[in-house]
Amino acid sequence: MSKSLVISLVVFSIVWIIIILRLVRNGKLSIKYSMIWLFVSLVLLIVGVFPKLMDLISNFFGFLTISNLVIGIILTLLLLLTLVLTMIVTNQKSQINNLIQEVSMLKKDK
Amino acid sequence: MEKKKIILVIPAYNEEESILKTYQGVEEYNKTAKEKLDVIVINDGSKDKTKEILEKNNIPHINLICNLGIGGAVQTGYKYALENNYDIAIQYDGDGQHDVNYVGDIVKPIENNEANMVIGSRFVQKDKEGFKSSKARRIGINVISFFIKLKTRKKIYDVTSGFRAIDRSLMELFKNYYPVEYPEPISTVNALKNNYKVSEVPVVMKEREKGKSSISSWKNVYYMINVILSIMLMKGNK
Repeated sequence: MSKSLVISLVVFSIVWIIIILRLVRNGKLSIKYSMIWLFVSLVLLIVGVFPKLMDLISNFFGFLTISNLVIGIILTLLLLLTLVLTMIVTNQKSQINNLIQEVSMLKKDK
Repeated sequence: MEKKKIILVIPAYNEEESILKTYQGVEEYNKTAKEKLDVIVINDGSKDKTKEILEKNNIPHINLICNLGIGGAVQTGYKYALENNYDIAIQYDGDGQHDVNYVGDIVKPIENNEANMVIGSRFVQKDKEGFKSSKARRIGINVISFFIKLKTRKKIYDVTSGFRAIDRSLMELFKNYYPVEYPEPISTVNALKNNYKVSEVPVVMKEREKGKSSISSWKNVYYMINVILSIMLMKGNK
């Protein structure tokens, strides 16, 4: 893995982690949902810090270059993130459903 | 035997042309019937004059503040029935498809403690007259019926019938989970999987007088996949 790719990955993930922690501190991101983002940043950090490990994984999965592997990892993480988001939406949808029903029933009794 | 309190839950979405007639039909029935039926219309955010008609004619109703879809509307009715101590809740269409004179048949198995859910079925007795739905729709119904048998070992003939009665134990179950889209077959499987008793009684249905069926033809593929997946993935809690 090229030096510059390693450096940009490490710098990027550290900045990313700082941004997330600040958002949590300012109440803009709940601690619950920050976990998945921190996990994503940590994986990217590991990718940057252990290029040797990446070599091994890259060979094992048959990627032609390490940068392809990095893109592959990022894609997988994004897929994971969107799945988690859809799960959250599903949960909120049923909560909203409940709210609409209860409010509508209360309005009838008035 | 103690008298059971029965309520008709009528979900209504843009039913301005038929809702009053439906309600008057029930009132007419109440004049002669020995079991009086209460009514609650769930107005699912109709965009037409349904709300005004309900208010003008003093029809008991709940106006949902947003459109929830048929499942959400019926579930609201079940919650209302629970809170107001009804023993039996009957889902009943507002578009004139169902005949209130069959209510007696439908509640009987529940009153005799033989079933928790009773489906008013077009297909139990083959010789019965009346509206049996289009050929394509019936093929779809047979396919869903097959998957329900596969999953629960129980044959349900009219899986999409929206004319059904449930007792309080099932209201409790459906209060917590009721499918938003195409709720009838999925909630039936949910009941069976949780060891509730489901039975079918023959009814005759009329063709819808006004309005469109909630299942339009181009959605059929989506509908089938959705329902079959839901059935096969259903988990029993007991």
